[in-house]
Amino acid sequence: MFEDCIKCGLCKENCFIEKAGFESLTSFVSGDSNNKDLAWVCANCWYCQEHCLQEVNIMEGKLTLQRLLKSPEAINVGIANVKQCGFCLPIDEDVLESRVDQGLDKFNLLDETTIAYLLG
Amino acid sequence: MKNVVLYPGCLVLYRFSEYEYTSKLLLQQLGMNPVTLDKNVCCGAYVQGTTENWEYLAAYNMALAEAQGLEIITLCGGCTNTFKRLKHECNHNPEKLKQVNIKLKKMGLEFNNQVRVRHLLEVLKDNYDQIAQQLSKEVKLNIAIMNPCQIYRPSEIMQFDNPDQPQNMQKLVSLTGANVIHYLQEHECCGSSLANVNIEIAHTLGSVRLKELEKLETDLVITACGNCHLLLDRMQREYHQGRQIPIMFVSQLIGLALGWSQRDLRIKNALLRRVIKNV
Repeated sequence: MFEDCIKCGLCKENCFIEKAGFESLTSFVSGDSNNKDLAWVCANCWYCQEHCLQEVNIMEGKLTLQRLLKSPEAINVGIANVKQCGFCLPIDEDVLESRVDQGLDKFNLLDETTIAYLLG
Repeated sequence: MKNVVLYPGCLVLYRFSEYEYTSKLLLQQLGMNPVTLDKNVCCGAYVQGTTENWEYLAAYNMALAEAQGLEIITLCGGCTNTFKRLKHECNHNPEKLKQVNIKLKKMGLEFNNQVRVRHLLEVLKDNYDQIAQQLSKEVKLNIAIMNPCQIYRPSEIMQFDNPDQPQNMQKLVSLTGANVIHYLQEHECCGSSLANVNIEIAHTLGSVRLKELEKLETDLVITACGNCHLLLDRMQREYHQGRQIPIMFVSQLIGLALGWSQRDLRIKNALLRRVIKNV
């Protein structure tokens, strides 16, 4: 991942998280930090990739790296929800019923077995 | 009326029914009939950092819409981004399309990559003249814009607006008669998704933006994504000690300018109700 990167630092220079004073994914990509966990410190705004002079697929590299790492606890909670109801937040029958009162369509949840098949 | 799929995504589905409802009304006013996909699931954005199989979730949703011959209209940046990225990948890599269909075939579904996907802002841009003709109220307020960054980048795939300095949302807000506030962070991501990883960073980013907007005497901020709204609205009291700044979805703002009733605008925030009271 990030094979074509020439460590010019443009991604880091442009990253809004770095501008706010925090280390982000771009500190790792540009070689200023060895902390791989920074792969999770990215808000998916795609600005760095949009402006990378080497056209490095930073976001794909980030996802590959994230998949090798332990994911943050809050993300794990969301993943458990996806496995259960298909959404990263706990959508249940009550939420779906309340949609009718709000003038929205009720719909059925996909069953857990089929969700597991899609994710498997 | 043409049927279209209105796809809320996890966050809007769970927390922001007012955004989905007012978007539905707006699309109806523009001559469309929004429907909800039965058995729809997360777009895949949330799981992409843990599995490559996020693509199957995106493909599954799009195949459901395709089976009915319907376009998908999204409300968040992340959903728009994942759907369009998979479409782009399938367009350029026939093996990917084949792989996705091997999975879907066992479910009796097929993805032909024919489905059109647009974010609400793209739909509004395409109906700009029709909206302009129907406006009945002038919204004389100082309004700042929070652009949903993922609908613009990567520009090669998203193909909508200027990827660095998007103009369409600003044009739409100006159409209502509002004075658009320009500010330092105007074209930067909200940083909301970082709340799942490091809340201090998310709060700092929200705080910096709102302090700037407070200085500029902003009456309200317009969002077009559940994530932006979550950080700026629902979490605002957690990090911003200054004057509270009301946050409103773009569909509610257009509805206000179209003369909708308070009931249809679904304003849940008392401060926001007060700000728009005299419009």
